[in-house]
Amino acid sequence: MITREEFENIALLSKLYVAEDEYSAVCADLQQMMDFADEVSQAPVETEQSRTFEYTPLREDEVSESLSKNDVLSNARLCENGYFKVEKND
Amino acid sequence: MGKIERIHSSLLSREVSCRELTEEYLSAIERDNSTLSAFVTVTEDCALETADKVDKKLSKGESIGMLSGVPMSIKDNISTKGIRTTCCSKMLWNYTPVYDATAYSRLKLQDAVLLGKNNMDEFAMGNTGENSCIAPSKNPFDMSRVTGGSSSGSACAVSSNLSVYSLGSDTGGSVRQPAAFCGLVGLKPTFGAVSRYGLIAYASSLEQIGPMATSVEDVSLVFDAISGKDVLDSTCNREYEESTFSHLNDSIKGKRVGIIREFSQGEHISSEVKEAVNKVVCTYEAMGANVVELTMPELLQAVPVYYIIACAEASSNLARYDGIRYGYRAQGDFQSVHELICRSRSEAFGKEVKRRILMGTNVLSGDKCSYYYDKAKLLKDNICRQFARAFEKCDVIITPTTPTPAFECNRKAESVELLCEDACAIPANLASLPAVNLPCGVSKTGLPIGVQIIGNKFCEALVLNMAYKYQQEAQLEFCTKWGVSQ
Repeated sequence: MITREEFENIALLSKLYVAEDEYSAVCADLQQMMDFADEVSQAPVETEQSRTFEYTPLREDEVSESLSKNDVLSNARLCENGYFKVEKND
Repeated sequence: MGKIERIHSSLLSREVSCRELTEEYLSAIERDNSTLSAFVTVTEDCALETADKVDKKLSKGESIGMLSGVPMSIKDNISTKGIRTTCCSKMLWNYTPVYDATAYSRLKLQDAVLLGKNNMDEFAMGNTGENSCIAPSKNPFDMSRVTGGSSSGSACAVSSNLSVYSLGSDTGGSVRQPAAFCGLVGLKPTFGAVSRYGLIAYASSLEQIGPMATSVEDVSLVFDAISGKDVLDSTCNREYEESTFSHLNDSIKGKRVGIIREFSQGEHISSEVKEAVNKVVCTYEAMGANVVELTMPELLQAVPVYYIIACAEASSNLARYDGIRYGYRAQGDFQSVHELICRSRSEAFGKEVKRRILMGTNVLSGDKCSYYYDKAKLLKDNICRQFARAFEKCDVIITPTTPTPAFECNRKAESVELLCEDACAIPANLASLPAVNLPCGVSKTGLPIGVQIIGNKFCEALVLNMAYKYQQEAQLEFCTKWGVSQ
């Protein structure tokens, strides 16, 4: 069973707030999904087989043209002097 | 002849102008979209501008490509420069990409007429279309049933004749399942066949962009246009030497057709779906193919394996949404940047997206990583090996696409049961294989039934060749709500 402490840690790592009145339902839902995932942890696997990997070629690390600063900032709600802006709280 | 070829010859013969054709589709969208919710954004100006460009080329006697002037649409998780791309999420409601996805830019080069962006499950998470932040798309065959998902609006638009074809994305059946539920042909290409550049990421190791249309010919033409090497996606590094279209009519005599016992006799597959798929296998046999029976019990683990890997990747991919650089930002006073990020994410992500982020974070955290995630990766490898062995014995594998035809709306409460609806589609994603849905029958209640043809890696030509031959043999008429699509 997922304890309250464990759940709060998962929510913190996920950067999500879960309201107090939603906690029981969301936690129970996560538990149900984890029970389903348990089928995997209990399944036998051919351990003697080595993992198969497919490699993708890497490009040369060369500087080339990319998006302009204006383009990159164009979707931010707040920006100033070419930077993303986060309000400061006193 | 598919719809695209018919439109192409009508444009060439000047039977219809591209503007007239585009206006017809825009009027149909104007008339029906409030009921069907197939589009989240309609791009009228962009469509008419391209249409005029095509008409100008034709009036000057310039040659045009097969896809030129053909009205189409795109799932709203595929980036379109200067056109809002929302993933049907409050998080990206005001997001406008500053670059095009490669798949779209290749169609744009051919003067494809973009009618708009299609509705979908938020961030492609879901298989009903009901997780969209706007009203869910309606199944044109029966409004009380789901379209399937996550490419719900794509399926709805093409099936309702509001678009000739659409690009969807398929992470665990999201092109094939809605294609099956709405009576369409839908292809999930081999992983690495179509560039993912500009596809807003959900589960990067599983997802591919794929076409949905009313005939195998149309799907083949669109696949040929969007596939092939792209320097902007390092996993997409293969050039196809020949088009799939040039192989559609190849003989299939002597081809070995595999059927998987776990699906052909599976208790979770409805009897009318089994019957329809068996008929397809018999048709292939009559056409000179040889049937090979396979047993692959490993596939029964595919759904939980997929769920662990997809959620893990989602939790990592969606960590980028911080409310600062782009996307939704919560308003008000904050004690810290952490609070700003948490509030923005909590207010903007929908329920299903939060569930998958929590699930993914959990299976990656601490000791659980080896217990769940690493184990799932081992089992995924095992499934790949089983397919590799199967393809030593056969050329293609035939399975149902879905266990049942389209089911009723509002089954959200049955979260785990809903996931199992994708049991037949998920293995192709885990093993990076190409797979197509092809309509193969109609249920007693008048709903389309789909068959899935899975091929070996990069064998799209054979998969579509097999699909085309069946389509010809069975003289399939791809029904849409408002009549047979001619």
